[in-house]
Amino acid sequence: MTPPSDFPQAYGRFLAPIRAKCRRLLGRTAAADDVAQEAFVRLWQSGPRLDGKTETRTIMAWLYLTSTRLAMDVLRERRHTALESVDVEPLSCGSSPDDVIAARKAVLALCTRVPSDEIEAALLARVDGLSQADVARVLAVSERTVRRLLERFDEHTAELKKELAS
Amino acid sequence: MNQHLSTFELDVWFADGKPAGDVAQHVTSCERCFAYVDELDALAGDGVALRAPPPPRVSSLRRFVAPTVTGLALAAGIALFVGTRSGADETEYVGTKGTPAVQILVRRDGTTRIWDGRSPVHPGDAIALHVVCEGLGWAAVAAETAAGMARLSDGPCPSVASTLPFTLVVDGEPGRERFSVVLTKSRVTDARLGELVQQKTRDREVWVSSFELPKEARR
Repeated sequence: MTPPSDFPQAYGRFLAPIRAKCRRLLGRTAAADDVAQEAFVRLWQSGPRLDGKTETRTIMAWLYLTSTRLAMDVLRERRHTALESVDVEPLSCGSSPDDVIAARKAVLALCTRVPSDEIEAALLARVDGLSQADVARVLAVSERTVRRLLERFDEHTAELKKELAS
Repeated sequence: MNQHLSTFELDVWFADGKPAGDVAQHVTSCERCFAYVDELDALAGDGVALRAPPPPRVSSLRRFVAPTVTGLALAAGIALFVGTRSGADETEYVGTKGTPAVQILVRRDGTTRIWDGRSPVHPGDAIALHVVCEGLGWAAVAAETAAGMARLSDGPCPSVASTLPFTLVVDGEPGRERFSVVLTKSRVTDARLGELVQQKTRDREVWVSSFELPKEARR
């Protein structure tokens, strides 16, 4: 294993965005910080090379996906915990706080009922505010696949609403 | 740039060091994006006292730094306090107002305790460093390797007393855990870092705290 001599620098560069991302998913909780740190442990163990040649966007995408999956594990464990009232701001201008809260609520309700790739796409697109192109990059799939995953997630959300209404 | 920016775009821009350009221009004119980046700045500068996740599967610093370094591995954040005086006579931390200080916390079996300066650490213990920089601007944690001085952590000093954003996990190899915390006004070269550690310099611009923690062998 090549010693990741650039790891401390990478940690300094990427930690704040990943902590912020984890907080969007899990609130300002210790679990969010734990997930962020675990993502960096995995970056160190098995992530892309940190030799200065790997694009920032590639490393960020890897961390986004890893932290998303770790956060999903936490959400599944505590899905009955109310997250509706947990603050999601600040957000970039590409995201609406109300939409983010609604998406997170749907993810929380569906995270044990729908395939993981749907949840991942929904979290990245609807909570993190990524474009479909960026979601495709993070998940290493085509944009068409991302659209399909989001459509299915929306269908499942609609079904859930019907169930709750009936 | 008139279009909206995703958090991903802002995060990439932030990780790149906030270079000048379209995104920078957008952030200065967009209240929400400005607030988001402000939050990132705050998260980056708060010292990140993260809680420790389970130790990584790879627990040897030798895989992180170099083959000759025994005993430490990067994992997650947790802290315990230790004295800052170098040498084997370190005792429980007593800080002097206005003096830089390094505090070490050790977490074992879910409990965090103050290292007493003598007790051995055990394989699997998580060690974190809490620093008080007292006006110094840069904190580096260094360990000797066959290739020279390796930086285990390297970054700006937190503005308030904080735990450095990394954790070391003790491995099962025999020997002692040795590392130094070097607080300086600004980042120094590797060669200078080595000199400071060797000289154990302490003055108004440099404050070196060297630690040697005995280690109990794996049972």
